[in-house]
Parts: sequence; C-alpha cells; structure tokens
Amino acid sequence: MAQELPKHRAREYETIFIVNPESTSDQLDQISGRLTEVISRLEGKLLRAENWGKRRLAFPVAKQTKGTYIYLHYLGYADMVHEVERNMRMIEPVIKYMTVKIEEDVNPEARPVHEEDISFAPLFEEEVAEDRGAKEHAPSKVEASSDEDQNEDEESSDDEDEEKASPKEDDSDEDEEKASPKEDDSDEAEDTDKD
Amino acid sequence: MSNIGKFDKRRGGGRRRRICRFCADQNVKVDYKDPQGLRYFISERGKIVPRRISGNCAKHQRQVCLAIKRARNIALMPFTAPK
Repeated sequence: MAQELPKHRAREYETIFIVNPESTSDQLDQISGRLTEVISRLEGKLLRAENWGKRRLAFPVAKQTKGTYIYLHYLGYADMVHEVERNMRMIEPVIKYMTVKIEEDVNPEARPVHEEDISFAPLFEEEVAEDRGAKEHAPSKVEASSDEDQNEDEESSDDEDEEKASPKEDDSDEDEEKASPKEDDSDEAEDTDKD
Repeated sequence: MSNIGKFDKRRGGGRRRRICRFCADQNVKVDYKDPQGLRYFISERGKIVPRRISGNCAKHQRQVCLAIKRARNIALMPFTAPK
C-alpha cells in the first residue's frame, strides 16, 4: 500500500474524459455534477474544468468517431484517482478517460480556486474545436518559420556534424561527389521503406 | 576537408532541421493536450519521428514521445493512420 500523504500535501491531477457525442447536455450536467461531487467529497479541490466541445477522435472509440472532451484539473489525495475513475466507469456515456499526475507534492493552500475557471459549458463550437490547438500554438508556428530562417545560419554547424559522420568518404573530392548523391538516394529509400 | 563542408552544405540544402525547437524557444512547452503542436513530430502514418529527423534534443524528444503517447491514449492523436 502506498503510504498516505499527510493531509496538507496534495497531488495535482488532470483528467480528460470523452463523453458519447450523442448524450444530451442534461446528461453532461449530470456527469459533471457527479464528478464534482466526488472530488469535493474526498476533500479534493477542483481547480479547472473545461468542456472542449465535440471533437473528431483520432480513431473510433466505442464505435463513435466523435466525442465530447471534458477536462478536469484538480488536487486530491491518494484515493482520489481511484474513486474518480471508478465513477467514470459506472457512468455509461463516458467512453474513454485518462488521468495524468502533474505534481506529487502540492500545498493546497497555495492553489486558490477561481470560480470562473470551472465551467462545463462548451468552450468551442463543433469542429471549431479542431482549431483550438492551432490557435494556442500560433506563436510556435511563427517560431517554426523563423526556425527555418535560422536553419540557413545553422548550416555551418550542420556541416561540421556531417563531416564527422562521413570520414570514410574522404578519398577524393570527385569520388565524393559521385558517392554522396547515391548515399542520398539510399537515405530516402530507407525513409520510404520505413514508412 | 573544407570541400566536404561545401559539398554537404549543398547536399543538406535545408532538408533537415537540426535545431531543437523547444530549446530554441523556451516558451513553447511540450503538451499532450495540444495535438496540433505535436503533429509535426509524427509521420504521415502516425509514427513518432526519430530525433535525427526532427532535430529535437534528447530531453525534448523524451518529452515529445511521452506527450504523443498520452495524446494517443485519449484519442487526440492516432496510433496508426491509413495511407
């Protein structure tokens, strides 16, 4: 048995679960109410709840290609996840769930609850949800393009690497010009093979 | 040796990204909840792209790997994809 943490040190968890897309908003309310109740009953602290709306699943789950994602972020003690997941198994419309522990040792006092963070209303309309990640990641996409610019500068370091990597081709320059395109081809062949 | 450098420069031609994008920008975090951001690190078939191609450093490749596996677990990303 895992030793129980003293009551002033909690663990921080994230749970994402997928609800059958055909379920009504009444059912959603019921589910979220039940889980909130479970969390508060076990003296946990619900920090954030989000409804990501209906999203396309990457693969079919329970014969559904779409699902309503709900995200919970909470603090809890040793028995919390077990109880939350047990409840989710009993709730029929929940087709998939996953809990991730974010932090082991948290002082619950240091994590105030903001009421406005807890909402089970859908954040995004159907399919707009797909863009959510993109929106969030917009800065990194900018980053990516600037990355490519940088890459030109990085070439020099690239060269060094490859110099080290291919000392055996060092016979003569002409040989190399012949040999390396071949090598390139085989490289790509390898890649496609793997795919 | 300098010739090799030149040659490789021509051959490499920006085909491969060699800088870890997470090291380059500390603000970008690896997050399994963000499949769009992770999509770059999987192949068309849904496989995780190796470090030598993606250019990630070891530390961030581990994080990306874990994030992709988590995302797969909750159906945000595919395990495999039909061609």
